Amino acid sequence: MSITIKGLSHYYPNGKRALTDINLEIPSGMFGLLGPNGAGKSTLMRILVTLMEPTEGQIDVCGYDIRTQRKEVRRILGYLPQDFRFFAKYKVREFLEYAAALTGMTNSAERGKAVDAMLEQVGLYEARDRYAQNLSGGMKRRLGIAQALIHKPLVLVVDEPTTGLDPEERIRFRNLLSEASSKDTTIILSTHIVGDISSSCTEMAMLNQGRVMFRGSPAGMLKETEGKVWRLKVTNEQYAEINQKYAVISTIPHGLGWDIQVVAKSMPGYDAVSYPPNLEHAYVYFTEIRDKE
Amino acid sequence: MMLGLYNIRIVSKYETKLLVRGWFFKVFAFLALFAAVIVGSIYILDPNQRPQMVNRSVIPYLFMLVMNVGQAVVSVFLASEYLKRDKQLDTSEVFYTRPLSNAEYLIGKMWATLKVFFILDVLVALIALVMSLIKFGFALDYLSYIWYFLLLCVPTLVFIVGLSTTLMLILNNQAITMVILLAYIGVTLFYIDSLYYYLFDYIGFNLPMLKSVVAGFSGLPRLINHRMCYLLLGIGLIFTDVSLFHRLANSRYSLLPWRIAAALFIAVGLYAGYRHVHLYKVDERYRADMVKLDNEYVHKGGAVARSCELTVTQMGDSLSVRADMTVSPRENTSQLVFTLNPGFRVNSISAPGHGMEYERLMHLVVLSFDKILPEDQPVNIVMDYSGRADDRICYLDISSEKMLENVKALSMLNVGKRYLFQDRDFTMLTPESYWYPRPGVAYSDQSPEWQMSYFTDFVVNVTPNPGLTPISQGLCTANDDSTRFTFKPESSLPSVSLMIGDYYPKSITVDSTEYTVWELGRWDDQFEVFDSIYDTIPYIIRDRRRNMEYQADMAYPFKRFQIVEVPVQFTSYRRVWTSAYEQLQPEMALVHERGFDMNVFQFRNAKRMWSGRNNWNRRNNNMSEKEILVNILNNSLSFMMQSGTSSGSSRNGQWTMTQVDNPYFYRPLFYNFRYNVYSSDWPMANRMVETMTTTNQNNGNAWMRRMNGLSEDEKALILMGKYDFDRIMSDPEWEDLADNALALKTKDFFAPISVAMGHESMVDSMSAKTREKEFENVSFDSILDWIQSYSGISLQDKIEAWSEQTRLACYKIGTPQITTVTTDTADIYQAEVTLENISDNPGFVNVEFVFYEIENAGDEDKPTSIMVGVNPHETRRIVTHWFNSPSIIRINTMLSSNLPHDINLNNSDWNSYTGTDLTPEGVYSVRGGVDNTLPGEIIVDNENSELFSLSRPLRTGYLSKWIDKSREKNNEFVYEGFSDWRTYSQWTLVTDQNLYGDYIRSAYLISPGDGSQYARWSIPLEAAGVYDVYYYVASAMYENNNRNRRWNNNNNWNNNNNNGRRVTNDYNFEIGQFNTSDHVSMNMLRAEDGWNLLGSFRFEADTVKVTLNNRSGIRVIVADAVRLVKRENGN
Repeated sequence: MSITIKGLSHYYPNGKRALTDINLEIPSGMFGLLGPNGAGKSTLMRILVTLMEPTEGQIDVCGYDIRTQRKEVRRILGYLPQDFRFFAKYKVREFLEYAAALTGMTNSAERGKAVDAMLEQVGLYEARDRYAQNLSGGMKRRLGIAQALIHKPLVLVVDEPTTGLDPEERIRFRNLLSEASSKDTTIILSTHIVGDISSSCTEMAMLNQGRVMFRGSPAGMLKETEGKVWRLKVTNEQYAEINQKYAVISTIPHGLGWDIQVVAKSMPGYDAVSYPPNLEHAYVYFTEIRDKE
Repeated sequence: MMLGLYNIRIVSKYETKLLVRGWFFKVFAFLALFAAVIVGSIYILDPNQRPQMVNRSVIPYLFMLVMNVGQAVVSVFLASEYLKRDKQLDTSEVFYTRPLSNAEYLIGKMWATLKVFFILDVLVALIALVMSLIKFGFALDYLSYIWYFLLLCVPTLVFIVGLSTTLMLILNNQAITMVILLAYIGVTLFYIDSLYYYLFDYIGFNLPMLKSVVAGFSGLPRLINHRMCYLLLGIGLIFTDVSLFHRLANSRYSLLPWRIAAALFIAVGLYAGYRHVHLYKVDERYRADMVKLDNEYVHKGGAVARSCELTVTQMGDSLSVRADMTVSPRENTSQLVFTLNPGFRVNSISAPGHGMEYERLMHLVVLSFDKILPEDQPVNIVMDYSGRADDRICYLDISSEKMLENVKALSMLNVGKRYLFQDRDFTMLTPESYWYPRPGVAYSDQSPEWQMSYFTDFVVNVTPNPGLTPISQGLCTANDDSTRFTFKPESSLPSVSLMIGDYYPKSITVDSTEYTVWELGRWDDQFEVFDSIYDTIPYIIRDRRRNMEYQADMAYPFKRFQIVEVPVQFTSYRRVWTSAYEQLQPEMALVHERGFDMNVFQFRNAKRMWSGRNNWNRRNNNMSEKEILVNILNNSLSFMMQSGTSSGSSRNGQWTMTQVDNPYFYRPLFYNFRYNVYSSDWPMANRMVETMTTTNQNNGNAWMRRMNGLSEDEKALILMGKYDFDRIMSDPEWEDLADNALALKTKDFFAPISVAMGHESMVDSMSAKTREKEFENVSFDSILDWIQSYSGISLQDKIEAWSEQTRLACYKIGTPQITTVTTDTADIYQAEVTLENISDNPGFVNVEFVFYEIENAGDEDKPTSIMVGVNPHETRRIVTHWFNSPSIIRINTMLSSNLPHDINLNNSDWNSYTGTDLTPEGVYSVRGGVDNTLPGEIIVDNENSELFSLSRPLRTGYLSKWIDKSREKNNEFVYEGFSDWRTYSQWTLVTDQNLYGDYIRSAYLISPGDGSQYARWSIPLEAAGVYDVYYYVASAMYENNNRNRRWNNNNNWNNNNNNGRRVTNDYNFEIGQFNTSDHVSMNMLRAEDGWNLLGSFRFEADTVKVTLNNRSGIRVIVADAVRLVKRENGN
């Protein structure tokens, strides 16, 4: 296993619990970490990239203990933080060179080549002499992934990478990640956007309120949600009632009423038809329904 | 390790890019470089170049110092900026996940800050260097550029970067960090200043760092220690920052070495700071111990050295000396005490024909003989000693505070103080260094006996280090190979000095006196300027010498005069018991290298300046080059003519003028090194006789008195009225006034003789008596005996009362009267001056009649100055006859509480009459006192604390309260100065002879305002009736521009106050009794000097209140005196 997390818990100084007894085995390949905002994804990411020290638990990254062998961990690590918008006054190429130099690429000629190649790869070569601060959001994110990948890390941690990107940039970014993934590399993609996981991850975990709600493949997650998604046609009065009781995830006007989709363990009393779930349904099921009652 | 350095380099490389791209640094760098170019250009182009520029380290020092202060402030911002940026930028986190260590990251960042400033420093230094090259050519002190960079910039930057980063990491707030650090910088620059020997001066703003070309830095090891303190603390703080940095360390123990290193560096830095203070403390203790020892021995083993032959061999930086002396004990004794510099080790002492043991106690050498040595019986003593002189013995009488005060050059640079030099290449030992054994102790704060000096026959033999030339007093002869030199003065001298260095002489003999300038090294020969007038030089010298001899009223007594160049740090202090500064030695003047800080020795500049002026003024008065050169030389030879200059300083908005002595003033060469009056009981004797027989008034002028509030004499008198005379003489706080106190006391001491014989005649006789014997010790007793036999007056009582607190008299001075009486032969002007001593103490008053042209007095031999003794409560009238009316009558109240102490009256101050009868000339005792008052009048002056009161001052804030509080500290002298441009925010007490007062002519001043501030005179009346109320006006206090308006502006409404309301040139009074009052205004532009009628009022037998407020358009409100006169027929 590439990354093993055992009994990981984290508390903030104010006593707030961010993570509770996380146990995860993360294999190489693209690994998705799904969860709503505030689920503890970012905390877990920051612990994984050695920016925070966990309160309890053990993490082993490619054989290195994250508490005692940070330098080794940092050497094999690439990280793209959630917000990657504010730069110091560097040009694109300078920024990437700086990031590259700090990974131990001491030969400046080789480093230069690698930087240029990476800029080509992420489509920023033309923009290399522009100040990074002046790039568009998508370009900044691409520069972010470039700095994370420049030294070919064994573990790449990407926190909410597609938030705020337009669909075209999002697809482009997903492709970049896919290109980077190989059998030796572990990419941890933390997101609350279900589409990011469905399109690229074979393995995933679902986090909610600091706990792991699901661990497996996206298909496995769908499987667990089967029979929990319902489609029904309702009047206005019924809709108001159902909306109070259940998680309504889709509403389409239909005649004088509504054609709605609901995630629920069962749907008695209405003329509900079971509906094949997608990851979005599964996400709702795991975050809002499964553990209730 | 290699990777560590690599990471640091990478971080610093990219961090540097950020710094130089920031506008803050760009602006600073631009300003710094721009300022360097501008200032440099000014120095290059300035035709009246400041004389200090002659020192080649001044430019690098100045540039680096200014740069250092600027960058100390800017670097605070930049150093805290990068941590703030780290916090704000999420991109920083991607660098935190790189495998570099915290130390590498942080040190890289700090190194970037340091690097950009260092580069800027180097650029500024390069500009300075280029400018210097253009100005001075290649003869520069190149090393100094590196020294100043290392001593000033490096420690300051490392420390402030470390400190600001630490604070930023602890406080986590850039604004608070900035405020704290800027406050710290401000406090260290302007407040802490000299505390703990400049320990807190991390910028190096006050550390003496001017480098001498000859002797290098002064106290370099201490300087390095001080700078190391901050460098090490800075490094320690930077290492501390590694531990404080908010990023997880690479491994659990990776911070430990940094913590240990931080603790180590901070500990060593603190130790360096402790050591800095400790070394000074040790010195102070050592000096205190020397004084203690001196006190123990001050009355023991006194002797007079009759002859002293010194054989000096220089061995590297050490001297080996054999002193062969003949001394005579001053009394029967078995012990002789000598002072010899404590740096010298005494190798052996012998006294042929006597059994003797010696003891070396710090700086003393105590010889104990096995039998009593009879008084005045010569004893031969041979002392062998060697080593390096220790400068801690110098100026034991001067306070540590005074010694630590910096000598400033160009108002900003600090010149270290040194009193002796002894190195391989340069040695300078003046008598103050006690480089040869001198009988007696060095200093005692319990008995002034140590101050006595005697003439001795000196011979100095010197074998210098190869290639060096010695200089001393007397005729110099050398052996064949010029390795041994002998100096034999033609007469006895009070002391000898020795300089050994790479000296080159420039000599000229004029009228059998040899004039020599001894230049050190050959790096800049300014004298080449005079090559074209070489033949004229003797005439110029002769002329200058005559001029000086005429002014001194004495002939120059030596066969030679030498100007000897010495390092720039050489300093001396003024002493109470002598007017001689160490800069002047018998036959020689010691001048700072290349005439540093002395314009008159900057011949090339002077030539350029004169030529420039000449070109500009070509049409009118074209001088030839030779004439210019003659002028320049004449000017330079005048450097000994002025006794001093005045210099001003401002504190809390008040200007203070001080008289600064010229240490090169010629007097000691003519007088002090030639005459010596000694008294075993009274060491002041010599100085007293000097004060009486030479013209030496260090009292400033009337303008200075106005600025300072009180003259130096008046301040001295205020002290004398309060404290014992000995205390005034010995308290370092008043050392600037001691001279004045001594002069006043001396004049009073001899006043009975002056009264009996006439002052001028007494002075002439005493001068003649003192000067009977040149280069010999004359006893004061013999002079007193002579005075007694001559005048019949014994001064014994006065000697006994000398150290007591001085009893001051107070005089009321009547309005003088000049009566013109036409006789058969001519018009005679009878001048009458009346004085009343209203105190219980007797005193003397000197009245001088000044005529604009001396022949106006009539009889040329008739003394124009008369000294009068006035007994307690006695009134005396001085009647004199003149062929013309005096221009000024000058009354000096000598030892009195009168303020002003000197009163100059002119024809507007006295009453003129025409008469028929002359009163015979003389000094009369009259009855009834000085009667300047009218019958039935009551006067209340501002000095009357019971009947005069002032409104409370307005306080605007804590700052002004604080300033006021700090002003109150020195309340020994309550009277302040005044000037036309000063504003008075609150009632300010001043004195002036135009003001009203019994014996203190004072008033309170305040600037005009809204009328809320007032002065009130409360006059109790015994009888009801009609009274005329007068106010005393001294227009000199408020006139100048306002007075002219009388002619220019007929409109009385000629001013607007702050509120835009029209105000007048009136003073506004409320006059009344009980709760009613009348408003009276007086137009001050029409008021006459003296009493002006405010009006007539009917008053009951109760208190009358006259209130003057500060609502007026006139420059200043003067609250002085009110007079009420009862009308005889009023009821």
